[in-house]
Amino acid sequence: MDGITDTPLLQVSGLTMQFGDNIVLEDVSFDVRGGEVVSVIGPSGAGKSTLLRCINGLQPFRKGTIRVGDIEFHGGKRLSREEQHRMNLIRRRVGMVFQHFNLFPHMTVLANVMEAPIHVLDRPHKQVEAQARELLQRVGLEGYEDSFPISLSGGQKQRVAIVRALAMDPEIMLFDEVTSALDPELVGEVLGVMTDLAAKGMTMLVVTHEMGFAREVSSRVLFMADGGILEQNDSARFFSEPHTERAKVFIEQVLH
Amino acid sequence: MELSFLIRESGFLLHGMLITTGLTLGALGIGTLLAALLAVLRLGGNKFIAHIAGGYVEFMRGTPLLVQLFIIYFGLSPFFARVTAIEMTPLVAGILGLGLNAGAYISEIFRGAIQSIPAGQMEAARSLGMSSALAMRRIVWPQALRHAVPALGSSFAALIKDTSLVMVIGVPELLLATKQRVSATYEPMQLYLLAGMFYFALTALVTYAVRKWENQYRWTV
Repeated sequence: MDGITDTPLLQVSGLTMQFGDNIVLEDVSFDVRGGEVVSVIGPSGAGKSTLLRCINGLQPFRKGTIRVGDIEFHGGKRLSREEQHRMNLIRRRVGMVFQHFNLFPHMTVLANVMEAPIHVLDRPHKQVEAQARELLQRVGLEGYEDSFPISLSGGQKQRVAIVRALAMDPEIMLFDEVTSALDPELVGEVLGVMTDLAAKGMTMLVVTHEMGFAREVSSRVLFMADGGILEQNDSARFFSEPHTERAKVFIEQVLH
Repeated sequence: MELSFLIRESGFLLHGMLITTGLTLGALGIGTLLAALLAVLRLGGNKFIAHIAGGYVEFMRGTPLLVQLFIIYFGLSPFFARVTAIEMTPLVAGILGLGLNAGAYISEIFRGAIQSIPAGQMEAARSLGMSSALAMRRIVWPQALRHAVPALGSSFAALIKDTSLVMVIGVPELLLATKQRVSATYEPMQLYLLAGMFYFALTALVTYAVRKWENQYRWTV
């Protein structure tokens, strides 16, 4: 594929996360190179969402390292101030889109998008507004700038959420089952925006149940089960010739 | 009930009403600021501080306001005067007592409102790179305040009525002013009814203002 860099943009190594005695992620390691679109698939309870939440520092973890560009974050029982600061820097570079949108209900669509660039990056208001309007237009939301989230459909909300993350100019975007809460007829418009982003060269890590997206849009698939990565392969090859029995059964179940 | 009597007495009570208004506003200022601080401390990361704040709230809610006013005016005020050589007037003691008491109640309203905001809001804010303080100020707090408005209205109205208690430490507010007029005129029924109407006017004003405040929100959750 074009535009994919050799150096990894995101490196996860030895990531282990547990709730009490319940191990949710065990020694997970993988890379995502710049420009790559990687789908994370697998049965529910495999730890897919937890993995994304760890990468974005929303879920503390005891062991392992997350590296985004030149910033490295080490998990641990107690985080030093410096470590917390590094996680904040990572968050600024990593965009996240949630299953349930999590738009700010007290702000208009435009204000949702402008909030972080202005208050986190201290960018000038004019420049941020111009960029926000352009991004909204790109995802077909021109005319909704002054609407409040409550008045939008699920698909529109999710497109705003994607734009809100993009407004921070992230180096990589994380998508956490972003179409799972949508009515079936609205899934397409959100996947369309994501496909567009992928085509423009955005680096993406996508937890999804949309096998069509995993197969057609993403270049690589991570198959997770029981808190670990069981298999990773080119998308086409993963679906045509899975190696493990778990993956075979999973593909059977979701495709038939 | 003679109209000329009511007009004349209203003039006397008006001064008490002004003091009642002052007591309310002062206590409201102290109480709201204290409440926001207490709510943040109780929800904050430091367990020890959270416990102290929680203990304060429990004490203020678990003892009569009248007892608290006595402690402040007859207990703390002389002590304060000995240490600083500044005499605490009954009015200052009254505002302080009402404010410290209201703060405990209002902090519970704030705490409940903050907790009612879904965790996803804080997570979305953090994922955009906001610090937890910034996320609190820009994202969680404005939404929580909206949830809190109706309960704040009841709390403010209760505070107005509670100001009548500070007559016991000699603040010449509405009720004490009325009592003095009763002694002078021997017309308890008319005067206390009049005082009731003055209080009702104040609480009605607050209720109206809070409803206006509620209606100015253009967004719903």
